[in-house]
Amino acid sequence: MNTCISISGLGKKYRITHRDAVKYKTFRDEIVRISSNFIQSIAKRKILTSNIYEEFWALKNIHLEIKQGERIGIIGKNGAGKSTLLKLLSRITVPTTGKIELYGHLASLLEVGTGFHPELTGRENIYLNGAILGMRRNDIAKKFDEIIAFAETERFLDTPVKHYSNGMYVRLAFSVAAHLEPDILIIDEVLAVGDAAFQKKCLGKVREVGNEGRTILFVSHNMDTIRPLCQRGILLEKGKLIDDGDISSVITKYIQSYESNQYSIHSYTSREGIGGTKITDVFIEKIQDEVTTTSSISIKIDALVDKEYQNGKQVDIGIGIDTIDGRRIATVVSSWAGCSVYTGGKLLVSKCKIPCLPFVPGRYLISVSVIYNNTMLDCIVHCGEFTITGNNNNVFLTKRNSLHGDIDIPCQFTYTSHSG
Amino acid sequence: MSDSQKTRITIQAGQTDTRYWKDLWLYRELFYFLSWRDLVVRYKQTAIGIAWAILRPLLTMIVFTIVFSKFAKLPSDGIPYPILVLAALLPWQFFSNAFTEASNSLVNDSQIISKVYFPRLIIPASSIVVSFVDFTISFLLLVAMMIWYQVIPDWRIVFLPLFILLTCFISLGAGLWVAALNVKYRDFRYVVPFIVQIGLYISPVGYSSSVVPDKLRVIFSLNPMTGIIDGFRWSLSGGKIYYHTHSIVFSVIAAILLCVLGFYYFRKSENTFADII
Repeated sequence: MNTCISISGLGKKYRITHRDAVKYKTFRDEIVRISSNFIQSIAKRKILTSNIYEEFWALKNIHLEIKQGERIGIIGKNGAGKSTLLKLLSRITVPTTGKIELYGHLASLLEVGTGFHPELTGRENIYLNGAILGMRRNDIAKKFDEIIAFAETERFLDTPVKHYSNGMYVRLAFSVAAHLEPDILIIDEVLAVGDAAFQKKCLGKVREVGNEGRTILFVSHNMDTIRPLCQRGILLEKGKLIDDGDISSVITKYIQSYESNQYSIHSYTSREGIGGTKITDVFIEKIQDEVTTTSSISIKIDALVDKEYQNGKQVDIGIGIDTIDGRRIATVVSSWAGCSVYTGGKLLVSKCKIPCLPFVPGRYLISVSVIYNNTMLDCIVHCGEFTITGNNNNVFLTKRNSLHGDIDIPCQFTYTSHSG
Repeated sequence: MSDSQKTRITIQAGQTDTRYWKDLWLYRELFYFLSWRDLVVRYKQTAIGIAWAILRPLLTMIVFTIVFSKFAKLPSDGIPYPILVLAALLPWQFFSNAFTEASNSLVNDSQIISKVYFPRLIIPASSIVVSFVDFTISFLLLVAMMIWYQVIPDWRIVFLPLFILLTCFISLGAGLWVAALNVKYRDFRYVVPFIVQIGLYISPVGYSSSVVPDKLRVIFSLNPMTGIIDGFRWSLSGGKIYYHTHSIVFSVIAAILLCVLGFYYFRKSENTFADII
């Protein structure tokens, strides 16, 4: 088979600005800072010296060879460089080092409905979105009936999409993209939207596209969708390619490396709360590699306590669990659970064991906080995460949808049948 | 699939994209669709719709005629004052709309820029087209007014397309430049309305260039819109409005300079748009 994508020595460097490296408390300080910087900048003939730049390699030294017709799952944590890789391949941004060679027409689907305009009708948006994704007008016209049939929105074709329901919007948007027919298709987590029935239809479409000999690069956090769709997996970590091989083995490696780890958040700056304590580490400890609804996890939180709070203050440790789209589904607080936590020195180490996780399979985010006297001292939103894999995945993929709720209550059915 | 075998794209660090012009041609339909989108969206959910393109210059013309002709008693150089104002208002509004829209175009479409690749030049260029459509509609008003006042242009009218083209180039050059700058420094969001507002006073829109003292004439002509506006009046009025040759020279120089600089800066910074927008 022919080589389709060839990547050598690819790297992408970003510059991140730390504006709040030094905390400015009042507006007056801010003015003083700005004016002194202004004077300095004139003296040095340099603009914006107040910002401290840090260089950061989102991707470094990636070598990859992809053959035509391969379906590849790209796996990695948040910030591992998955999206950067996709952006480089789809030419949205340029690499800092290295080289990419693409053979064939590439289309990327980093978002569903890019460029959809709420004021335009469904019909108009199909043409606009198609043109943005690189389709010719003739091609769109030829595929038009297929697109609306797939989206199941024939009746609303001449209604502005601002009146569409969320589901209809997503269906139409995906449908346009699904009929692109590129040689290489790049998909980023877009299938996480829409109801389960449509998701299944989309996955079917992607599989069909793959069977036509097209190359597919697929990014998802949902291992249950990646596993059946892809043959080959690529694992990224901190911008480096650390594993490349059969999809099952890569997923296993990812879950092992990822899911039993420690979140060191010592240098986090995006904290809420008035200060007084500082959460430094969060550990999510698991018994098994894969977390299911019946497995237990422990969350260990290490915090540094300032002097003024060290003399036996009663504080609360709070842990919140959110769904990936930010909905809070559970909150646990130490005192609600009957545990009074007292400070007594510089360090405060607490641990919370949760014996079961009756949530539907998916990714969940953890937020932690330290509370004193109803005041938030320190809070870090979404500092850690875990993934629940289903006990019987197929049910969740095919039948279950968001209308059925987030909770998976353990239950046992019994029945009797009578004939009279 | 057959022609796909030919497509081969090489993306290499630090190398300028040689396919840019080819891509621009490939995406020519997107250029059309973006212009069309802006045109359709512009007058959606408005009661009188496209009539705004007539109403805005009409109302401005009435106000300017009253203020400058009736109150300030400025000379009209032998043509009816409303025609004097309208002949200047059309290129001015074309420039100010095109320039403003083009400068904000990239930031307004940041969603698309960060998710899909295509030559970014299409975005500001298509907003010039939208302003040009407005200009064409407003032009009908001018034609009607000229018939009403019985102002008949002579052979000089053949130069009018040249002045229109010049306005296009000045708007495009300035628009490209500021659009690219706006991506990095949002300050330009505040600079552009200021330039447009001040420009209305320093360009001969509400008054004739003949009221400008000779001492200030050269400085006055440095504004590229001065030459264009005078040119519009000159070609439409059958030469009744005196025309200063040096002002058109400045306009041509400005158009070339703005286009070269604007295009150069745009191409230079285009690669990083998605990273910083």
